[in-house]
Amino acid sequence: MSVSDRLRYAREKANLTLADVRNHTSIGESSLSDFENSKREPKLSQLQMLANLYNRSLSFLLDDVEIAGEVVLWRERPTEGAEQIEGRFLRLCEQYHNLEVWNNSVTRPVLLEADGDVKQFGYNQTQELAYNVRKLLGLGNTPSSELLRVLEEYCGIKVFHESFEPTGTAASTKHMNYGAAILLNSRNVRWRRNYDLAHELFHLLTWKLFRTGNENTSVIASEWEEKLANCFASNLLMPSESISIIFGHYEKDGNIPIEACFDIARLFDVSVKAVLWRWHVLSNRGKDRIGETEKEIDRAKALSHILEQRTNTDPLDLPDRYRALAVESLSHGDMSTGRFADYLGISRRKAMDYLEQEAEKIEEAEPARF
Amino acid sequence: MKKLNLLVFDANIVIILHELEIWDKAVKSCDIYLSGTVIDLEAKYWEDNDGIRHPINLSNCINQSEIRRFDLDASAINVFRHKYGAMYIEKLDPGETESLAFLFREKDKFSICSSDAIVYRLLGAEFERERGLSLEEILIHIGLQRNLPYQYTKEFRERYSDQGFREGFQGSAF
Repeated sequence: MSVSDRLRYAREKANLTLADVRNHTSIGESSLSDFENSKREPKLSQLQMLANLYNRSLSFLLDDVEIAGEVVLWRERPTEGAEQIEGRFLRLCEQYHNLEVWNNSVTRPVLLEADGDVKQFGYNQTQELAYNVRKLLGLGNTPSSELLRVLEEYCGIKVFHESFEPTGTAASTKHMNYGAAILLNSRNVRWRRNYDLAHELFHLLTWKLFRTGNENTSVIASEWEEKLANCFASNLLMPSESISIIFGHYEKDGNIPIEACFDIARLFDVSVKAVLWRWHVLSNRGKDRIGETEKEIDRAKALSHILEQRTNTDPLDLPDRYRALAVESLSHGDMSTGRFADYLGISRRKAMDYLEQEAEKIEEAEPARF
Repeated sequence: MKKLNLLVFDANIVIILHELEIWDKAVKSCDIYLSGTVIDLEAKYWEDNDGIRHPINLSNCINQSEIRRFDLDASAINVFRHKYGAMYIEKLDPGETESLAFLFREKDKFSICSSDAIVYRLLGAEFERERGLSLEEILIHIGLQRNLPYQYTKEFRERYSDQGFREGFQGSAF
């Protein structure tokens, strides 16, 4: 693929018209058209402007190989700005991967991938997968507290947070070059994000099973797949061995008091809604009593301002490991100041200050590396 | 005092000279070349001690030929990219990529001034360390010596040029 083809590809994937690009850059439509039709070459400054707008690296626009498939799986794709969100997400994945390579720190994923026949994959297989993942990763009886850290540090899954609507959605991707990644909504409270993380993990583990045939750049999971993902998340975060004991302790006349649901939710750091659905399944309430469970959920929602005692913690804007790798790259002279600024989303001035601090440390240190 | 000729500055140098309020003096004492990417995208403002941003407008300097602008097109950058790899392009500021590609392409012996170790490493690896010049050395030459942070010093430049030289010699640079 030529530069001109890649420019057109990147613009269309960003869902931008030539007029949109003109409005965001100082590049006229006729020039843009000439670039995309190989009539004229862009200057590097123009190419970089377009790369910034399209959320692409310069290397991407200059590369001449076929573009690797870019599939971002959404639970519910945002109606506005989805292309920009996906672009930023994939760009962050690429940057994280670059940092790992520069620091010889590419994590080999430790993950169980589900295989077999997708038609045979149901609730039993999902429960078994959740059990095996929990054991393999040593997540214990309350996995929420460790899940994010373990997935990032040991499984090589890149987890990012961004603010978008609707809040009830999240996304995942498995890229040929950059590996597996999850995008969570920073607007959600922590216990909701825990559940979304486990839910998206299911999609990554079953990627080969469900992502088959023709793929668009964005894919919406089927209703069935979503049900399985919820089943996985529930089983992973509220293991039946441990939560059954807790339920048994609180159960009275076939119900769990609403106040106890908040205590259990806090213990497993999931939502009260998730706890109530878990109780619904483990107590074998069945389809006939779905309405009853839904009423309990509504009641819990109405009482949450009194009974919800947890304090939310905002997610990091960038993973700790990502930041650490970027600082390492800068301090080893493996990355320029401007790139460091881009990668951390900070001003060049702040990046120059960072470099000054790192350079002082190098000046004071013995030249052991040399 | 002889004017320093054929100097390419990267964005950090342009910014720091404005912060030190000696940009105008530097321009009069040096023959400065700036890449289009540095001018259009990277050296856009400097910050004072209160964190207030002041725009950098280089158009007057360009119009009066006090500094010279150069632009490279995509195919020229691709030559650089094919030689050093896509990862190197990603590590460098685009302005540095354009500046280094220009430096290596031009028959005239330009020098480059930067505060980024990776620039000097590349020069060292290409056995062209003499084409790097730190800001400290430039300011001494033009009589504007200052105490500067380490990354602007001759010692910093030499340190990373040495590293690059060893990497080039061992074949581990790229």
